[in-house]
Amino acid sequence: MTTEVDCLVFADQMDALVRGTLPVEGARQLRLHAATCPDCATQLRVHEHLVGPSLEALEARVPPALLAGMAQRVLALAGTPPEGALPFPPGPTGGGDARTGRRRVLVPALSAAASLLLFSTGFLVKEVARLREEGAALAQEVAVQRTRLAAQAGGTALDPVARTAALAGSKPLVRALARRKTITVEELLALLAQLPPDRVVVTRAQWGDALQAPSPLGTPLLRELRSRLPPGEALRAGALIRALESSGIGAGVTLRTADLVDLLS
Amino acid sequence: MDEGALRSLAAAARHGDEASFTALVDGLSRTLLAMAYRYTQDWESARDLTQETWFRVHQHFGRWDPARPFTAWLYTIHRNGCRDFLRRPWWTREEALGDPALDRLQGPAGDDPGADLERREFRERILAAAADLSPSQREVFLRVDLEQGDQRAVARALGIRPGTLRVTLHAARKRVAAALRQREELA
Repeated sequence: MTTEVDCLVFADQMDALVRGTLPVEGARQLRLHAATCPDCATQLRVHEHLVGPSLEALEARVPPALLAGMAQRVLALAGTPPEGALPFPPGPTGGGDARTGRRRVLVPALSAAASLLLFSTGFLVKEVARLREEGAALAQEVAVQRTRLAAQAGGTALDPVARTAALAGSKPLVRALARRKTITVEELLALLAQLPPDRVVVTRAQWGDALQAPSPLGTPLLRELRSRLPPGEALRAGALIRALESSGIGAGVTLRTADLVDLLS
Repeated sequence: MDEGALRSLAAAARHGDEASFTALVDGLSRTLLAMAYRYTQDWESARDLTQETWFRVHQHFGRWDPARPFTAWLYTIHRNGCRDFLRRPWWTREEALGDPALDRLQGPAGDDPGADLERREFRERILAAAADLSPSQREVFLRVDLEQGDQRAVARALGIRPGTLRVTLHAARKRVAAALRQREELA
């Protein structure tokens, strides 16, 4: 006899389903329910996406290069003593007057500590500067290699890594868009808001071409923009934001970034 | 390292002992990196978050109560830093070009940039939906589902019954799924 699975049962058993600890028939019933219930299907998709290796398994995968020198970098960045740090405990005292004895040992000890601290701080500051230079040079080398690989591979319009490499050095807005496959109107508005309002984002020629050719942006969006933005002028960030906000296009509507990049490039 | 040893090191580091501070960093950074990776899904950002955590610890060591476990205080700071990371706009979370060898360790789809990008975008949509949850639902959802925390341990940490946590978690999952479906229907 099979138990009818409803959403409450599904919610209760979903963890076990994803972990693989359910009996075969139980798992089958749950998946059957998910196939007919969009809400439970989405919950399952989310959960399957989030479930990953255990913390211990992830710890084993930490690249060793990331751990090397971390304390030194933090100490170099910190520089000043931490807030609320208690003073170093007094050094050892000899015989005689305890106060004099402590002073006799403490002053030279503090001087030595101060000298050591100055020396090591100076060394660490230089080391940090050297590592920063090396990091920048390495990043530049990797960028060159990726561009070369992208050119060799003839990266397609939908290959995000190749596109990012090919667009390295081009406009920041285009670079930001190239990192995504899709973007909502709401996200696009937030991105445009980072630019000065009078920044040209689409040239007059590009806008003219977009109005002539069949629109890759989708007819509803282009219709909205066409009615609000004159054809003979470049599109500036502020005007584009106002046009999008006053249009009937919902904030959650998703656009393909490849189409936007084609318009902006 | 057991909690007693960590507490001794932390007490010394709190007095400005750099060797003890270094020992703490060396001993606990692997765990912090793994925790951060659950949020960032890339090791470079996880490293940056971990460094920021240690910097905050170093700067505010005086706020730690030696009567309480050091790791509890440390993980709270780290978790807050990871949550702040989620609140940053996605285009400011620079994906450093870094070491190509690290790219191969990004995850199961590391060899497929397209699948990798889709996975990350889906994750961002999930986290954006989670941002709209009530504070208690968000806390439970992030701790259990994102951080893969054990439900009983999370319930204890939050001071609620396991049954209450389960109900809150189910409600959070339902709301996240509904928000995602609404976005997808609009696309």
